Amino acid sequence: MWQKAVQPYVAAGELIALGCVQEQHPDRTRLYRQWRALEWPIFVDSMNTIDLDAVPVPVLIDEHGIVRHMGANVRQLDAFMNRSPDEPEGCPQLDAPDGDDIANAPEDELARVESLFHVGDAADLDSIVEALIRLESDAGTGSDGRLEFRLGVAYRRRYESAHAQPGDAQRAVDAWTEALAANPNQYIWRRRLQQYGPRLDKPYNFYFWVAQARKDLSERGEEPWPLPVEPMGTELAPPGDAAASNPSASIENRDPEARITRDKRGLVQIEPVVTPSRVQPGRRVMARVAFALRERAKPWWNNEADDLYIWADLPEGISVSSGAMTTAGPEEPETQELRHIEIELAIDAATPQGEYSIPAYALYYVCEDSGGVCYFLRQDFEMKVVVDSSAPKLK
Amino acid sequence: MKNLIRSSRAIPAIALFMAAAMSVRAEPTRIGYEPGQTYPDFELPLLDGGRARLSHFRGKKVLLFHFASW
Repeated sequence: MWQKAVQPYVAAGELIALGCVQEQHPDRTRLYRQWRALEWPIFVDSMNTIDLDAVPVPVLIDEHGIVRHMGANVRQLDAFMNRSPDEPEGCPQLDAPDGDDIANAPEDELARVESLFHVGDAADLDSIVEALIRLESDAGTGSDGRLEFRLGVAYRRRYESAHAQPGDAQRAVDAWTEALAANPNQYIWRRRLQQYGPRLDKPYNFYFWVAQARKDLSERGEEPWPLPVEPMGTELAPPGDAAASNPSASIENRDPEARITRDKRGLVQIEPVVTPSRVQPGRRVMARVAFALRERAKPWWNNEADDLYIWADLPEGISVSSGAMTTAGPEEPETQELRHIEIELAIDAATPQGEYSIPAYALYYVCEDSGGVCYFLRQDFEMKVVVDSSAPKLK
Repeated sequence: MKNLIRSSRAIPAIALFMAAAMSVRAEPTRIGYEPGQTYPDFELPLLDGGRARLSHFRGKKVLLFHFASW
């Protein structure tokens, strides 16, 4: 609607319309823009470099860089456009850095790191993470959460890159959890956790529009912008209590004596992530377990056998409230896709505070190579749940 | 630039971008950066590639729409 309202002014060269998106995955914005045929230049601010606390926020800025309307609505547009370009009084120069900017070395280093994140590639993420950790350490206690949020963005970006390190997905959630704990009023940081969190804490299904966008674009004869990282699972789930028909019945210890052969060669890499990383008693966490085939071993999922299955030795006070402990493969006999299992864990209100390391294992059928030797294997892993009455609430 | 804007609305940011002509707000927005102040300059990448500074557009009236695609 803003597009329509500003179009005459933009066409006349009297107004510059710009977007600035808060998004971990810019390709999703590219798809959205294609779908909505947005023509404005759009800044990408994945790290929330400009320290915005909330979206959406339209801002009307005059010729001198002065804010005229914050949180503007289109009814204010005509008056704004008809305003004469007076020389403002007492306005600071936009480009002149103040003394704090010059003297504040940590802010300079943060700006350097942010810039590297924006212009660099996945190979730079290691040094970006290291620099943010160093800045965080130097800042000591009393952090305002900005460094933690940026660190979470970098970890998540690395997790989804060829430079991923085991544990990156959980490290991202840990950092975002601490960021929100430092500033519970930060709407954008809260949304980043909700994106991966339990359904009860979701305000809406975050990427509900992706399927519709692809359908509409295909009907328009356009090729939808490809998404290197597909939204899936909890990112697409609607809010609410999505209890499975009987989740506890699906928890079956199929290998109680640990007799199934271990995956000693590591054909499958398991990455559990619990969101949020600290939770208050009486609330829930989303436990997402990703299963990736290691490329160097060239394994394949054997879909002609049984489904991938996990079991977890849940302590008293923690139970599965929804989700399934198993996931089926495609109809093709052999595939190599990334697989996920998502379960929500309910923390009883009486559960004592503390860190719970939950032993778990996965059972899966893989083949060494396409048409090669196939195995039924087990791999153990752990999920960590921290019950803490001071943990930030996602909703 | 910290605490530029404070708000807590459980409305999809993207939905408001689409329906912004109405600009209906569930709650009043508390704004930490007020009209009359200079908007902080920044340099960020553009979705189509390259980078730009907000101050590059000085001399023109600007609508800067902060939004999200989630």
